[in-house]
Amino acid sequence: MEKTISAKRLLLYLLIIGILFLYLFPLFWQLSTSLKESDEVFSGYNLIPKKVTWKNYRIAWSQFNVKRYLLNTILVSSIIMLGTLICCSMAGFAFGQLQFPGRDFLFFLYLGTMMVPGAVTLIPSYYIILRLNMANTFAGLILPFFFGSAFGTFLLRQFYMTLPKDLFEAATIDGAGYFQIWLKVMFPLSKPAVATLGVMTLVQHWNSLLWPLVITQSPALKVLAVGLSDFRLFRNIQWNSLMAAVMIAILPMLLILFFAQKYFVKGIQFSGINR
Amino acid sequence: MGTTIQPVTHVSMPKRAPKKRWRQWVTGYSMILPNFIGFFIFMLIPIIATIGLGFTEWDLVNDPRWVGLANYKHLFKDRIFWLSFKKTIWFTLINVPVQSFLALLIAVLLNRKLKALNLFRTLFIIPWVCMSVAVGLTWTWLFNTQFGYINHVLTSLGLERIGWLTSDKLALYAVIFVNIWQYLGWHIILLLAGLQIVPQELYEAATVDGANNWMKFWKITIPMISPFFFFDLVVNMIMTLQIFDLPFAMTNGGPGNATRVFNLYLYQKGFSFLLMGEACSMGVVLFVLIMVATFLVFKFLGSRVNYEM
Amino acid sequence: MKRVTCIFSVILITLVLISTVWAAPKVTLRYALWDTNQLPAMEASIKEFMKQNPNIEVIIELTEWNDYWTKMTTGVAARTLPDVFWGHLAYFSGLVSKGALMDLTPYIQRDKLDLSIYYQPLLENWKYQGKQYGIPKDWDTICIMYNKDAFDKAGIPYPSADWSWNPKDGGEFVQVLQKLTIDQNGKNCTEKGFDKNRVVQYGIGGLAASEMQTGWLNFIWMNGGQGILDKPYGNKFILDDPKAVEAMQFYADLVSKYGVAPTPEMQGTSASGWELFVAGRVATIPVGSWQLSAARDNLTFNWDVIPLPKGPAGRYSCFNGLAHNIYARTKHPEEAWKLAKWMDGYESQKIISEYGVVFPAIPSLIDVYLEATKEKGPDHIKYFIDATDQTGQWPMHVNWAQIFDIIQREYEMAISGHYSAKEAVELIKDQVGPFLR
Repeated sequence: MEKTISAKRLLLYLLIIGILFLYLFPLFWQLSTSLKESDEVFSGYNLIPKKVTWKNYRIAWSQFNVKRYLLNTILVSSIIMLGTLICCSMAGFAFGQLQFPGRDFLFFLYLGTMMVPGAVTLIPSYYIILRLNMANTFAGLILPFFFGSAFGTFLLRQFYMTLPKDLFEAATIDGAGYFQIWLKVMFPLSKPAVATLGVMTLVQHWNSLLWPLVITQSPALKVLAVGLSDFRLFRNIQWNSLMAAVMIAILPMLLILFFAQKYFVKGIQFSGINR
Repeated sequence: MGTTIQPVTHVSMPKRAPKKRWRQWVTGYSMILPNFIGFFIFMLIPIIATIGLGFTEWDLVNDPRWVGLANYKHLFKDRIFWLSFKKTIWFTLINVPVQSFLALLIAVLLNRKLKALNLFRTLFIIPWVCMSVAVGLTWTWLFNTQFGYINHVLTSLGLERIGWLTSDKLALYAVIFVNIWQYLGWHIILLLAGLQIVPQELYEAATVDGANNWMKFWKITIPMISPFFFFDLVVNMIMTLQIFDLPFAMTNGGPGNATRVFNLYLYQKGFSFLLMGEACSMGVVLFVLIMVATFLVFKFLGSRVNYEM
Repeated sequence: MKRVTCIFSVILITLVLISTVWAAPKVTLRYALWDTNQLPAMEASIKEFMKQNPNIEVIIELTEWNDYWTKMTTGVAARTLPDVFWGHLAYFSGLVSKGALMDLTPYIQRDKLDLSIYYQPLLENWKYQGKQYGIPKDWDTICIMYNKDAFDKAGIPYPSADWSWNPKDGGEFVQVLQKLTIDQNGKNCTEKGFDKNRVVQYGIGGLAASEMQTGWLNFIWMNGGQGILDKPYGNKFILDDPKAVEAMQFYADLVSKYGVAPTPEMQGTSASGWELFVAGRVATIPVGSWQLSAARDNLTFNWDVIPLPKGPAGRYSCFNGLAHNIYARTKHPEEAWKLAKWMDGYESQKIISEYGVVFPAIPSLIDVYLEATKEKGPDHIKYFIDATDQTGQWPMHVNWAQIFDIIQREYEMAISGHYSAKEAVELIKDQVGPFLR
């Protein structure tokens, strides 16, 4: 009996690993290309390089300035994430737990805008940033997203609504102000939802291309997505170095995902779905 | 858990002294304020501007000129507009169900007490964090007719090679395939999260009653997961109707018009042809399309969702 | 009295000093370009410019081709275009007809600039409604670059400069390409047992509907066709001329009938024509002369260039070039003009020619370029210069972006063999109508 179960388990693991291998094949391809010498890149279909070289990573890191892009991207996306978490969390709490006139109307407005395609708001937003004199600055990269998004507020509102009402009552009776209740009681409880939103925001802005492209001109402000796009500058793309740069771009996200996912999964369980 | 699919909810509050209520108002408004400032400046104003610009002729250089409904009239006569409309609907109709069901299948497979679950979840989600530029480049390489890996495998098996991205029949499916690939992990995580809060007692009780795995899946898992699955479908649909990145990075709408989806055509109208007025009116059409589609899904599927838990 | 004069002169001198400082605050100009290969040459020239004009500072902005034009378009909207930037004819007509570019005519007249030193067809390209919007910076023509090693391996002689093609059976051109199309067993595509599914090397690469300049437009001219529109900014569509259609069909046949070229995948993605050439997967490729410096840097085999094969109506090459454009709303028109005038002027083009990356728009500087590239090759670089003998011009129209989009999409289907060139042209004709006004 015991044996058959473990055989079943083994089969299950094998199945999952098999699916994963096929699923991640393009990434193995990227990884293997990033370790190949230039003359091997187009010459064969072998997944394992004949001669493994780390040279491409060095080239990407210093020659193609991925170091600079990485720092910029970390700076921009983490500030946006922080702003988003604070602003959305406060707004989500207010929408979910407090009562004030016009609340539901505002919330509907928020929901409606979630369906607006991003390409159409690009030009007006760009205009506004210009009028604010923030083109070609870090502020211009960050500001439009710093105050959070309608989606983030929606996500956190859903979470705050699931928190038991007694908590709120108890805190009010204790004489705490509403802001205090959020800060001391509710916010700490919302870790999973905050982690979910945090990861989603981070990924979104880590990969964002169009906005940084149009808003910045200076090479010192380039973020990863723009920098990677620049690899096409060289009419003969150096695939192995490009793939090395891609690997460098993915790695920080992987680490964050791995460590944040416990909360991440919990956040999903409590938030978006339970309307 | 929850009751209705209504954004308006009833947070029951005991009666309070008027002073307290007043305080709640002030706190409420001030806590929304930062978020609302961003929302107002970078969402509401641009949207209103876009709606307004939809009634103008604007080449980005000279000032917009009021033309009334001319843009819409012109759009509705444009063959490519309807083509891109159709491509987008088709893209969504294939992408959403396939992606969501595939995700459900794998999520069910993973929903066991696995030691390496955290690792598996992370691995499945990797494509989601990859940049579209990189994903597009890698896949166009794999799909290349003459030198791609996929056709290499096919010809090794003695089959004819296939023009994945050069055939007007296949290109759309190839792009859909990559889209499914890139976001599958995200849907797996979402559904897995739902699966994990299905109470184990339900399964145990069913086992006692002599139910087999298949019956358990249909009678317990499916109804229990339905709110998650429904949410997943709706969000997926809204995202897919706005698809842009991958067709842009992989085929730029080609070959011919095979993968020219709505948002891509919108972008080209505005930024390649400098017809910003028409692009803005396309934005309004897309918005209406998404609203209608969401409404329909809620009407016909929403009522079947099981919210009893 | 003396004291008064003294004080007076001191005051005067101070005033003059102040006013010079006051009158010449440092002006910053933004300068945008897209080609890394040319960057060092441009930097050298701009450095010299700044030395001569200490009150002007030039900031260089380098952006990849596709992103460059995305940025220019958004920049137009937001009125933040760079003061001086590289223009390309594909985008020139759209920008100029909308009033985004500064008219240089008054400045040229005022400064009595001698325009006769430039290639005249190039100068003509940058005119719109009789006004001059750019002074030619460089030029390019089209030749075929070939992998000498691939010819040696196939055991065929290098093509001679008078090789030819015809739309009936392809002529010598197709015969050579067929012998260069080789499967994994080493058989070429004229031999028995050739496996078209496992070709390791194609005769020619870089054929695509998007490659009008290096590709099919030249073949139309060489077959006796006139081009796409009757004249620059003309509204008559002449691509449906039987000669043009025949040439377009021939070009498509290289892919779908003769099978000597890989199917065109989207440009700028992996495995585009140039990359396949570098990797030795295609033996020849039509290129513009701008590609030479990339070739010198990247090709690891022996290579050379040969003119395009002669067609029934002779040999034609697209003759194109860039220019510096000035943004119509620049805050410093005087300084921007100064920079553009310098960059396209004799001295600057001389500096740039010494880098040997691009042909100068001033014929008398050719020798400087040739001297600079003597060591680097290729052996027959002169074929690019010979190609200027009989040339065709880039088609110009205010709605060019839309027109070319339609042409490219429909013709792409013909090249992949979905339908014939004739059908494609009919579909194109139906759609371009509204834009030809």
